[in-house]
Amino acid sequence: MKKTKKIAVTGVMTALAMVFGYIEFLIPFDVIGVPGIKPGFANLVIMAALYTLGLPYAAFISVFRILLSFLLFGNVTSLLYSAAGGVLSLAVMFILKKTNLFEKIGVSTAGAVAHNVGQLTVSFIILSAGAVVYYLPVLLLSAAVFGVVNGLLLKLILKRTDKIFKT
Amino acid sequence: MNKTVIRDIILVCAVVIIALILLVVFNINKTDGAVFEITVNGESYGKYSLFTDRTINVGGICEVCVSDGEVYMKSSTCKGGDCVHSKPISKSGQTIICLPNGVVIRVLGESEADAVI
Amino acid sequence: MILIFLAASLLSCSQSLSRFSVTYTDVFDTVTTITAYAKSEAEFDKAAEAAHEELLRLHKLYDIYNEYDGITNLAALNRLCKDGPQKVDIDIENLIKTGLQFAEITNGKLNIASGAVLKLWKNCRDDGYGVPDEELLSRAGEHIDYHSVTVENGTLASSDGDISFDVGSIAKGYATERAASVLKEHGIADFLINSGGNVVTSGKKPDGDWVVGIQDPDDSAGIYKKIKVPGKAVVTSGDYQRYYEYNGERYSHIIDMDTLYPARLYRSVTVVCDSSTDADALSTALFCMSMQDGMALLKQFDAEALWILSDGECEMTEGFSSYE
Repeated sequence: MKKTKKIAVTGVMTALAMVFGYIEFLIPFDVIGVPGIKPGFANLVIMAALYTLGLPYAAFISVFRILLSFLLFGNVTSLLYSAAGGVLSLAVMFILKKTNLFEKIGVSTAGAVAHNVGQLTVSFIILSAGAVVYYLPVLLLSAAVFGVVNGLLLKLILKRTDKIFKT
Repeated sequence: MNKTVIRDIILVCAVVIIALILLVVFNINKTDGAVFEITVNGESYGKYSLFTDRTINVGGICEVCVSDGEVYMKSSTCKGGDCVHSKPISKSGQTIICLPNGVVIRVLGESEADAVI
Repeated sequence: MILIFLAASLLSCSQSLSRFSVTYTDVFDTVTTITAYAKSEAEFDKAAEAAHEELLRLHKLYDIYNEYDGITNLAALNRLCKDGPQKVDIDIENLIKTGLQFAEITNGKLNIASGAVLKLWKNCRDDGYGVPDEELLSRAGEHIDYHSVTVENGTLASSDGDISFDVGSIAKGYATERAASVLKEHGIADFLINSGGNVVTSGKKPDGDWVVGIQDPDDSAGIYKKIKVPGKAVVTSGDYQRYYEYNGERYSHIIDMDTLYPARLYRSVTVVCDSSTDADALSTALFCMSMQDGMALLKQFDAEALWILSDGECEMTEGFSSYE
């Protein structure tokens, strides 16, 4: 892909990631009365970027989305949570992808788990509450479910948009 | 099926199995609690009995309500409202957390006494 | 995988008894909590309310500040005693008899006829200010002779017209024991009743024995020591329960009948014993006597005790450590 195209796509993806993130925030996903179960569709965009544009661009989209969301809607604590989740998730996905040992569903799931673990760790530190670990089972299960869903969606989307990302 | 797909499946299954094991481990020791503690950003705000019905206003940030041996978040200034939507808790170790406000409601374990005199 | 999840949730629901608890604040001027395991909330409510009724009945009977229509309680007796022998309810007779026995054994350290002195201190405590006038105190001290009291066959009499009964040191223990019987009569076998520091336990919890925490004298939210006392009664008398501070000193509610001033030997004394009435009486008495005398007294009742001293250290009888 030509660089100028990459940059343009990056812009679009950043906006898309932000919109997905905001929609998730608006719709309460209160399954079984436990908070923190989100589909992570913004993650889907990051992953798409990782697979089509490469790490630098994916990283940019992730960071920029977090910063912009913070400036527009959030507070410092939400920034910390997003940052922890986003950075860890991207790092894990990049490493896993690089090993070529896993496919998109695996990478997606690993990324979702990393995202949740990152956020859990931050909450552990901020709240000084060992009790947060009790949320781990639910977060892991949710990460598995949505990891698979997002992985499948990613495969689908990339198949359809294959031509767009070719040049 | 190629090796990568198999590895994907193994990864997802591993995550699920770990989650279920943790679920069992955490739930085996579930005992009814008698006292719960409210902490704000790590600092203890107070310990209360689960068996005295009342509503506690936590520094204007949120309202914690105790009723019928359970405690839940009645209202909160946070935007998401996850905490308010959480189900009431009563077993030792259970928690309701309001992340944005840093408030944690935790039912204390059986290490606490049934009566203090 | 769903099966594993189901198995996990079933494990946690293996108990057929559920824990219930209710708190009453209308008896003995303190907080009374009944915690029990029962098959249903309905079963628990019925039993607890019956126990509460009994507590209320005894509360009214032993009340020395208010009189109630239709019953001749201690408040009325305090007023009527100077007019001669009075007919009394069996529960008053029993309590006073027990009280007099304890007065004998403790040489007056526990004295249910010391209302005259206790009243003076209560007034100051209610005001949160001052100490009773020396004159008044010593004069009151002349009217606390329990030897002047006789109670037999439903009749109470005293040769001292100014005698005044105050059973605060023993009434809650007696009442809690009665409440426990009522619970048992209603089929509740595993319970803990805590009436303002008087604890009676029966049976156990699904996951072990009832745990009683002895309060840290300086921290109302802190526990000094946790003990398990299956089937026994535990009572703590402490200087942090009812007190007031004046001129930088703390005046607690337990008065030493020899000095007529609040006892200051220990921060608290905890007694474990089969009988709740005995535990209540003993903890009050021990709070006012030397550990040596206290230990001798405990032996007579096969009871154990823990003393928390002013420096935060503690002493306990040999057998007490078996409760830790």
